[in-house]
Amino acid sequence: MKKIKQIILTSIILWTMLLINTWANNAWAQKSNVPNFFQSYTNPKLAPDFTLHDLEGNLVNIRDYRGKVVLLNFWATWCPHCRQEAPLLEKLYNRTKDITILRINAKESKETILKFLEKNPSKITVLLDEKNKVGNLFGVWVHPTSFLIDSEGKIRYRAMGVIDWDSPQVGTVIEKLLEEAKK
Amino acid sequence: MNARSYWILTIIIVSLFSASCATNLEQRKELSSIFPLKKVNLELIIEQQRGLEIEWEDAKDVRDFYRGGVQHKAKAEEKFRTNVYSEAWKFYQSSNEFFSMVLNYLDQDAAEYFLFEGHQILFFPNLLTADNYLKMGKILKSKGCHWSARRQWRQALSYIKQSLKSEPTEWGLLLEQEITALLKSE
Repeated sequence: MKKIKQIILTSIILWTMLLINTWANNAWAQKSNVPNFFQSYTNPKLAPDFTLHDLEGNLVNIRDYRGKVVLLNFWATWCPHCRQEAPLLEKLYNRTKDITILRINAKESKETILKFLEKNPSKITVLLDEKNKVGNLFGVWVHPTSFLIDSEGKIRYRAMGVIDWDSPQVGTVIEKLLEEAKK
Repeated sequence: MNARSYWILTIIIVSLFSASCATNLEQRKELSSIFPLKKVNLELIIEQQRGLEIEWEDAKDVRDFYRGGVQHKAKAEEKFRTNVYSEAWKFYQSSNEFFSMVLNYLDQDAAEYFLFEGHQILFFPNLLTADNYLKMGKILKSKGCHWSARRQWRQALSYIKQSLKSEPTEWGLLLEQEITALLKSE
């Protein structure tokens, strides 16, 4: 009987600790307004300059997007997490046209990407980084990695791994950048 | 010379020759596994890590710290070349702080460090730390602090040994030679 009481008491304590921890984490996230999967920068720096071809053969320069909020997403067709993230990016793309989304493919040929997009159609612009030059410039070492660039061309956030781009938390961060761009 | 002594002598000579051939082959094999200077050098390493700058507070992973270390080293090299030694010293020190963080987790140098599918980088935290200590020693020597310079070079040697043990490179061997000569001359 004593043992049962002890087990019940221990589990109550553990559950209480767990609840307090969850509450504290949520409170911190709400207070900071930045989801913890976003890494913000101490001194935001200008995004490295680059020019890449898109799938239609057009040259795209990152500087052409000054004045706009840009989401750069580094991905590859072989990367399962990138495939998982793709529909979430598509949702964001369909929800708002205020943010420019550019998906930079790492080290794959145009043919491979086109074949992939036949099965997984997307309206988002895909840029070809066949030698991973741009990936190197941004210090990308894992896929997917995304960067949120403000209207001044400065990198404000980095996110590694799958992000739910349609979530309210992410929405708040993007809204904040969009508001800054209007000022 | 009788027939018996003749055969014994022949066997000894043949065995000596074959032993020497085997040694040569081994040496050649060792030499061929050393990465040449044109494949592993400072310029290439710096080129690979050029771009978005990493600050200490923003580094979240070993690979970020390595990038930060290389970028600070690049700044140090620029100052060192133009004889702005006080600035160079600061960057060499901060570069080594980044590398020491890397070495806490990954202490092996690699000429083909696998970053992700189909993409490799030159990963030499030991050798770069050693090169930083070598140049910090040179700065100290220029100020007349010979004893402190020797201390930096001895530290450099320990990192070079670790580097050569994990990935033999021509660059590492050249640095080792240079530091050994500096220590002897002082």
